[in-house]
Amino acid sequence: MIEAKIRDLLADIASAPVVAQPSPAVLRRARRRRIRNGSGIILLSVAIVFGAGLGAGVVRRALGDGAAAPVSGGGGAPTMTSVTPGQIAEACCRYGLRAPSTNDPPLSKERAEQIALGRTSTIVGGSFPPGTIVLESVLASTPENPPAWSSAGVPVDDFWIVSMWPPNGEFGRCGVICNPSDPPFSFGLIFVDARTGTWLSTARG
Amino acid sequence: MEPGIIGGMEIDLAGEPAASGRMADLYVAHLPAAIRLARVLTGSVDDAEDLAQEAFIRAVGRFADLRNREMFPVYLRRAVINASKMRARRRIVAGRHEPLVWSRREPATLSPEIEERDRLSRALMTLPERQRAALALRFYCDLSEAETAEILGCRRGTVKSLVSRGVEAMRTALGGTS
Repeated sequence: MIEAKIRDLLADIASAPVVAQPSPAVLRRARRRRIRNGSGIILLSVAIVFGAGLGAGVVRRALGDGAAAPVSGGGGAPTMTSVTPGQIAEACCRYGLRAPSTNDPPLSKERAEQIALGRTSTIVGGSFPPGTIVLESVLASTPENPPAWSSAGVPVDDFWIVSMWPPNGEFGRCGVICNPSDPPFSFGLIFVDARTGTWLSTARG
Repeated sequence: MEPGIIGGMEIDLAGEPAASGRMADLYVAHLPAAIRLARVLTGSVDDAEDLAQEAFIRAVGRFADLRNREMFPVYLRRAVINASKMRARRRIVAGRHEPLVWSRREPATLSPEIEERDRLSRALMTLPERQRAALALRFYCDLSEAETAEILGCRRGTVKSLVSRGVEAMRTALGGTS
């Protein structure tokens, strides 16, 4: 019984779509490593850049303390709730989360629903406090239990999106979804009742 | 260098620019599995991608040394496990110097199903690195005890012990009900 649950959990964690794009930066590193290993063989002369993974790392490093960065979706027109894709990206970077990427696969309703129900690697990890702004993850909050932002002076006003309630005021889960492959809709919100899994509504920026 | 066959693809990593496409193919063919394994080990999508890429670089860097190139996926898997161990060590050191940023607040009541998964998931992430790796290899990759032992570089008995303790810890996390 417990083994079956562990299998399910591991499969769930691993099940989110994977973007595996060949890219130049890693291949350059691989080539250098080969040379360092003494083979003297140059693997490739092409440059490809990894998609989301390296991109997120680069963005995080580039941001430093969280300054605005030219990441994908940044600088877009203001959208609903006055949060721009750039702000979302900035928030992601500031908290070390994965930034939107044009390499992200399109978001299906099923995928979004899965996200909202917490069946993704990001949320089942339980590593996000309620109210954390996350792309491809979920916020769990109620009016009685508002987002718990850090008391360490993190400016939260810019990220009003995290404190939105489900539109009908009922307890639910609010997911911040990034869908850069569907411009100009750079992000959206989904609301799902966490108790029943009912899809309440979807809003798009 | 003789071309090698990996995962049904002909690979000649020693060749010049013509090999670049094949290298990319190698990446596309094997990295998704590496990323998924890394997710299970780290519980983080970002870390998993970084970790899998690092492992890929290491594995490819040693490609010429592989006696049996069919074993590349196994070698990559082992590289992921090793990279995960190194990451865990770095985390321990970094954790001593990082200020606590978040004030954790427990979420409101969730459905029993989500709550249980959350508990299990947290338990998984608090397991010692080797236990988690053993569980991942046995229950996610569906490897045999012998194969798991080979990747972890230990004996089968050790694998049994690691898995048993891991499962027990997960059971305890569920309140010993399962």
